[in-house]
Amino acid sequence: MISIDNLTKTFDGSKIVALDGVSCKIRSNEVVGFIGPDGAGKTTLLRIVAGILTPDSGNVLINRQSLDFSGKDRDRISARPLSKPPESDLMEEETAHRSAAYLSVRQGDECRHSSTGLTHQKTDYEAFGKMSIGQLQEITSYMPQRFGLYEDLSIIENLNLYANLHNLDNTIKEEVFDRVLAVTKLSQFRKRLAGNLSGGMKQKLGLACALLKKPKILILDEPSVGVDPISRKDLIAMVNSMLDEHTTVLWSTAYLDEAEELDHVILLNDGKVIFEGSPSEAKRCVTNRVYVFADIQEKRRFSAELMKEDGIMDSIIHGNKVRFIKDQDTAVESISKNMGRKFDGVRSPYNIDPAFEDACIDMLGGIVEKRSPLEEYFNTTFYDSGEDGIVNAIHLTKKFGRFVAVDDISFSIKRGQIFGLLGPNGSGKSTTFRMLCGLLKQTAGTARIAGIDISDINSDAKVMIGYMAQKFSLYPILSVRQNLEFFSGAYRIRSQEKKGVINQMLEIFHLTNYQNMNAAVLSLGYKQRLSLACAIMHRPRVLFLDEPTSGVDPITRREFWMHINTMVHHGMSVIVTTHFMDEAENCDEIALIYKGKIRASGTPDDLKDRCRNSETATLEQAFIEIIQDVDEASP
Amino acid sequence: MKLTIVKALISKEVKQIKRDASSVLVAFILPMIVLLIFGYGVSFNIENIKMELVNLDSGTMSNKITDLYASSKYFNINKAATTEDAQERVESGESQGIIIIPEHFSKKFIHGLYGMQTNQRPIRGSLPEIQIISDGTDPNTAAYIEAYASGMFYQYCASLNKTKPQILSVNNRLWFNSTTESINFLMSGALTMILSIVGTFLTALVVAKEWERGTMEALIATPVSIWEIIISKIVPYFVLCIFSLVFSLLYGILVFNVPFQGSILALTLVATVFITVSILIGLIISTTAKDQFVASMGAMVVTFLPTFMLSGFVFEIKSMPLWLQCLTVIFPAKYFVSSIRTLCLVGDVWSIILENTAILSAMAVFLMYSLKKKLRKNIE
Repeated sequence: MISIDNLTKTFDGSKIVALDGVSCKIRSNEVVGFIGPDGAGKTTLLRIVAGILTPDSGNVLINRQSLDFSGKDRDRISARPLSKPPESDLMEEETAHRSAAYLSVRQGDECRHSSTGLTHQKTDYEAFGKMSIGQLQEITSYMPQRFGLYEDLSIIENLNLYANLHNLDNTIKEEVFDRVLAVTKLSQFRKRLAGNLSGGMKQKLGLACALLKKPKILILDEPSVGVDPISRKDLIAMVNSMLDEHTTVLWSTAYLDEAEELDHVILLNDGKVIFEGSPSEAKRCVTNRVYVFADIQEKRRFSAELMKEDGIMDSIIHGNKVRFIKDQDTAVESISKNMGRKFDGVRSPYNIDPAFEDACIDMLGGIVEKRSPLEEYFNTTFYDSGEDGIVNAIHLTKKFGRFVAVDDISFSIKRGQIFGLLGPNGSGKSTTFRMLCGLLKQTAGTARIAGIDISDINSDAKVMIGYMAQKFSLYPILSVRQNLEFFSGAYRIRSQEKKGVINQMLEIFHLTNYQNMNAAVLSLGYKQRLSLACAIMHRPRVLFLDEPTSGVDPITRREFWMHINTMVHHGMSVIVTTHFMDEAENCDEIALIYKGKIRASGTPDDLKDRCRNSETATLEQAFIEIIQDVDEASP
Repeated sequence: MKLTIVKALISKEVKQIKRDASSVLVAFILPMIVLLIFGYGVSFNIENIKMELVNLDSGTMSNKITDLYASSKYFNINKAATTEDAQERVESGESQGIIIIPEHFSKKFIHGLYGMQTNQRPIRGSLPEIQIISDGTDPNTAAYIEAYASGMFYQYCASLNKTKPQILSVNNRLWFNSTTESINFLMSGALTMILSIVGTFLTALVVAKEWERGTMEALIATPVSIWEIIISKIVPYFVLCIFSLVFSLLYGILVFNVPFQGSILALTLVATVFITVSILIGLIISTTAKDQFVASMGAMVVTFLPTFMLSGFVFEIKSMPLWLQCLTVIFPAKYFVSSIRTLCLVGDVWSIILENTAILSAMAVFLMYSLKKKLRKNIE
């Protein structure tokens, strides 16, 4: 068992508080998820447990032995026998403790504060001696966020190196390599350099390196970040298949759906533990509070109106459905009645099983901002240009040398629509995206925006486009206001309007208090807001979003999409790439790109209908099935 | 320390070096370019420097000396009537210096050459002298003028009589660098520069690269000790430096006929210590700067620039202001430049070699200690 006792860690002369008195328990032989938005403290916590970061205060106990961060023993220590307390006693005591904790949660009734209910008994933190970092690292494997692979070494050389570093016995080495290569399906690439592998393959190799010597504790820091749903599924399967029951896994992730499949989760926010328990336990708090309105015509306006109702904590668009969470006090009937008054032919909503994300949103306090102030800013409505679509891709092809990245792709996006480009890593979706916004020159075909060929577009016409990049193209050493000033110049906002526009943006995105801070020191959520402000301040007709919300907390993501939906309602068109399936559900049309071609397109519901068991299918299942079909047809 | 781990890490490092074209480039191609530039491109040999010559004597010897300078390819001599005239021309920038042959020069010269017993100390004031004044605004050229002019004077005297006449100053370096080819004493600086780049620059980048790519984080979370990491970083780059040193030295000797008067033993001794120091500096830079850009800038400031400017390789340490002279003491390059210069041009002067080796060793010990303190198995 790992007990984390009141850990505090600050950086940058205690200006940045990464961990603020974190206490939690990790039971032996479980897969424990550390979840929370970027900057919540997940990585800091995992690094401390891996012994590569020293906390300011607090304690980590591993099987009742407290980790010795003092540094005297930082070199490898002679294999001093561990003074272990008897394992069986420990387990019993632990179970007793846990049931007590559960009880306190239920008695506490208010699920939101469940973590405060878990007041750990002091005795759990009493140490039975010390464990040095060297001893810890003998029993631990750690995979950092970027996998820790040497890109200029081949797969087998990477494995060999880590095998030696973990003192793997020479006699069994080959056997172990064969086993991990088989599980990861990397056997045929043994000699390929790690740098030439795709994102998903790198990840599997990174994990394989961490699993060579079956560790007692396996620490994985966001192993699935930026990875498509298929690779993510493979990864989870791999961890499960390669571990026996004697391994404790610490798994951090920003994907809440991934956490749902874990035994136990610890939700962090702002360096504090918000929730600790099993996902199903968390979901229990929102049971009978998640409902769905089906077959909604004006889904965006409906969702926006619904949000303004009393007692609504969250509302999102799922295909042609609108899904919402209500608070405990409001009756669903009154919500239904109010909405029925505003919209014709609204059927009463039905109850569905909550997802873990619903629980998280509830625990984080629900959506506070009920309407987007952009409604006033986007007072002008864009009308049809008379063409079929505002964005047209016609037989787009892109070759890099002999490799065909994008192979004859055509589609069109209508006014006031959200178009989603989906696909696994390396499928060609980013290439398509870049050609459409003129960042990359196509090999063949044309891309038109409002009737103008994108390659002919001069910089005057480029003001029709807004672009928000994955890593937020902000200038880190300029202040918030200076960034806005720069982009207002770049997008040719007339100088007499500039000041007004910038002030409006600061107000709409709640940045007024931060206007003189450098963009670099903003939290990720604020960076995202600022870069959205920079991309839309000139009221573009088409907005390009490249994985706009990865790593951002669910509340900020909801606010982000509320802004987008408002602008789309006024006729703006959006083209978005994403790995989040719930964001894909918000699209009017989706194109699933794989191996350079569009493999499926249509509304989210169309795609789900194509599934083998279309009744219960999720978009993720549709995604996986379509890609598997392609792979089977042409392996 | 475990041998298997060190071996695994070293073999990893070697593979990376082999696959990285830039390290081969830096270790072997760069020295060639540096030596080519110093051999052909950058000439510190002075030729046709405008000088004033004031002959205040009327004897035969003074005429001979005048002819000596006038016929030299180094100087373009203008005979001035008075010291004042010459001074004016120097002040106006038309000439770079003045050679003054004082009154009674010939008389003193002949007296000094033939009229004195060899073991009898001459009376003060009766020595044959010439005065060399050079334009101090360019201390470097001034130093060369002084060296060439006095060297030629000395050589002339020596050709008349083996016993040394004592004149104003004889530049030691010129004395040994008998061919007065600048590549010969630039070689020492070029070698130092090359070793600084291979040793400090490459190692600084290599560790920073591991931080940047996140591999260091994975590495320190494994049961590897600090010493294993340090050793595995030092050994391959040490070997690379030795290869580079041998290569550059052979290249200099074979292509530019740079003399090498010293012994392999002395070279090995001082080079081993200097390379170790260079690599340790590189490692310390990388542990401080965790990205390649900052690391390369750091390596530049700490090694490259001082090697170029403060080692006595291009600019005379003697002609620097005192505070700058004091500053040169802390840079290892100075000691290696002086050692290699001695080894190339003079031979095994053990007093110099051992002194420099001792100072460099002390630096190595200090650096090793600070590296151990800095490089903890911690990501902060």
